[in-house]
Order: sequence, then structure tokens, then C-alpha cells
Amino acid sequence: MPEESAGELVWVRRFLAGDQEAFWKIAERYQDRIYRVALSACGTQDLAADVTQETFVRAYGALRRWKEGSLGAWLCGIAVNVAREYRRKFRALRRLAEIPEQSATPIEESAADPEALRVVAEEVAALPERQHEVILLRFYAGLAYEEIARTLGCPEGTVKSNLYKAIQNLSSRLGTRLREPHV
Amino acid sequence: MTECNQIREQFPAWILGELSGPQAERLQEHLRGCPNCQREREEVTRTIQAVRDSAESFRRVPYPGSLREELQAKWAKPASATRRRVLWAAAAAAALILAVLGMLLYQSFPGEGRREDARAGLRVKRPAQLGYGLAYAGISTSPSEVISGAKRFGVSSPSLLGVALKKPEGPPTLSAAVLWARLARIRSQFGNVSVRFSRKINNG
Repeated sequence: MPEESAGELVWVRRFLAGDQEAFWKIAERYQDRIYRVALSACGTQDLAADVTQETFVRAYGALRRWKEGSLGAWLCGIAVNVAREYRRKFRALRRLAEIPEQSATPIEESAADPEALRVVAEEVAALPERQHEVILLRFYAGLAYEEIARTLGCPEGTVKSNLYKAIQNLSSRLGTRLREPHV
Repeated sequence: MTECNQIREQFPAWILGELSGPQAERLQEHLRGCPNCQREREEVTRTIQAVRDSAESFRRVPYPGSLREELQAKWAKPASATRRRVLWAAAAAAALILAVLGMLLYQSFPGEGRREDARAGLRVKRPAQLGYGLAYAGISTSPSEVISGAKRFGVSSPSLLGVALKKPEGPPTLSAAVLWARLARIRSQFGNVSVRFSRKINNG
């Protein structure tokens, strides 16, 4: 077992034995990663913060059921599920209020062109739900195919075919936009 | 399906280094004689790089605030929130009982007070009784009382209230009963998030 996983296992055991501080150790280690996944999934900082909080609230109640694999991947799985729920709710509300969908804001310190990042984030957010989630978990959360398959409850082959379809979809949508002079 | 289409389907796996040796060789052989597929491959390569750049741009973003303090504050409140929910459930149950009682009372005096409440867009047999039931729940058909009733559901934003009043297409002013049901549904679906979102509508 990798050293990191062994450490996580100790925290989880301590938490299950009643040590609340162990839960905060876990939260501290993963809060930024979960927030980034939530931000790339939801597109707004407010919503991403809500998704992050809800992820840890659910993890608090469900840690007893965590049995195997990476704790980070397990938390990312919860975050993706929460983000999916929030996206659906807010999509309905946005439609009601006639407010357009929002995509993740590019980060200014990045070396890449901010306009290109905005365009990519928009197109990633517009992908079909399952393709969107596979892209998030593979590229933004950095999970292995096996972890994504466990998180989404489908075979690895399905994860890969969804990822390839997502890339092809993005390629046809981004084709002209990425060739534009400012991008 | 043409050979080009079959080849192009494999570009993502190839560029991500997930194709076997013989498959990759077959692709390269095809590419040597197909400029269209070469262009397509460049496009897919650019796309994957763009997604990687996008993901990279998120790598240094920290959680804004103190998750521990926020969750501890959230967990410190559940008792009062539960009590509020119980009170609302009791009020709703009382309003329902009143409505049923009113209906039963009306049934014992057939032929009186039947008319259509045009403003509410709702066919009611005895508006006075309906009004009494709604007044008990803190909502009536007058706009100002509708707004104050809506506020009691935690929907404080006139914009969001406007949304509730406006949609779906129908009479410009919904009946208080419909509004009440819709607000209750919005609140049960969105919880406290609706308040935050309503601010966004105002800002927009």
C-alpha cells in the first residue's frame, strides 16, 4: 500500500474511532482538489464552494462505507455526484430565470491564453453529462481509468470510449474557435 | 464507414498513447497518404493540449475560505433549522385541515357563493373560505400579502418572486394557492441556495 494511502487509512480509522480532528486532516488535505473539481464542473466560485462543503458533509456521514482505493478518488466521486445534482437544479432555475449557462472562469496566472481557456471551459461544460464527467475526472482531477470506472460505476472500456467521444466532440466544436487569431 | 472515419475515431486513443503497436503503425501508414486525416489529427492534438492547459489553469486554485470553520458553523445550526421545518410543516398541515373543513362546510350549504375568481385564475366555490385558509398560512391573493407570504418561505428577492409569478406562461398574476405551492416546491428543491441565487439575479 502506498505511503499516502496508509496515512489516509490511519486518519479514517481514527475518525471512525471518534477522533474528529482526523476528519479535519482529511478535509484539509483534499479541500483544494475537491474545490477545483467542483469549480471546473460548476463554473462559478459560489456554487463550487457549496459543492465542496456538501461533498465533505456527505463524506462525513459516509466514511464508514469507504473500503478501498484512493480516498481522493472517492471524494472526487462524491463531488462529481453533488456537482451533477447542483448543475441540474441550477440549469432548471436558470432556464426559469432566462440566465445563460456559466462556464468555469479561467485562471489569470496561467501561461495559456485566457481567452482560449475560457473557450475550452465553455465547450467542456457544454458536453453531454457523462462525457463532461469523464473529462473532469481524467484531466481536471487526474484520476486513473480504473478509479474513474469505480467512481462512475461502469467498466473501464466505457470510460475510455466516453473520453474518446468527448475529445472528438470537443475537437469538432473547438476546431474553428481554437484557430481564431486571438486564440 | 469509410477508412478515414475508422482511422479518425482512433486519434484520441493514439494521441493519449493508448493504442497498441500494430494499431498505431496502421494509423501512421494511413496518415502518410492522407492529408485530410493529418489535419484532423492536428486538430485533435490541439484539442487535447487545450484541455490539458485548461485543467492546468485550475491546479493552483485554493479553496476560498476556511472549510473547517464554514462546516462547523453549518453543523452548529441544525437544531434551529429542524425546528423551523417542523413549524412550517405544522402550519401547512393546519392550512390543509382548514381547507378540507371549509370544503366540507361548503358541501353542507349547496348553491351559495359559486363564482369564478378571475383574478386568481382558479375556480373556487367559496372565495371567502379559500381566503381564510390562505390568510391562516400567511398568504392571500392581494399582491402585498403574497410578497410577505413569499418572504416567509425564505424567498426574499422580488426578482425570484417575479420569476415565480411570471412562469410558466399563463395569467400575469398567479393565484396565491399556485404561488404558494410553487414557492414551497422551489424552497424544497433549492433550500437556502435559492437566496444566494436570487442575489445573482439582482446583480445580473
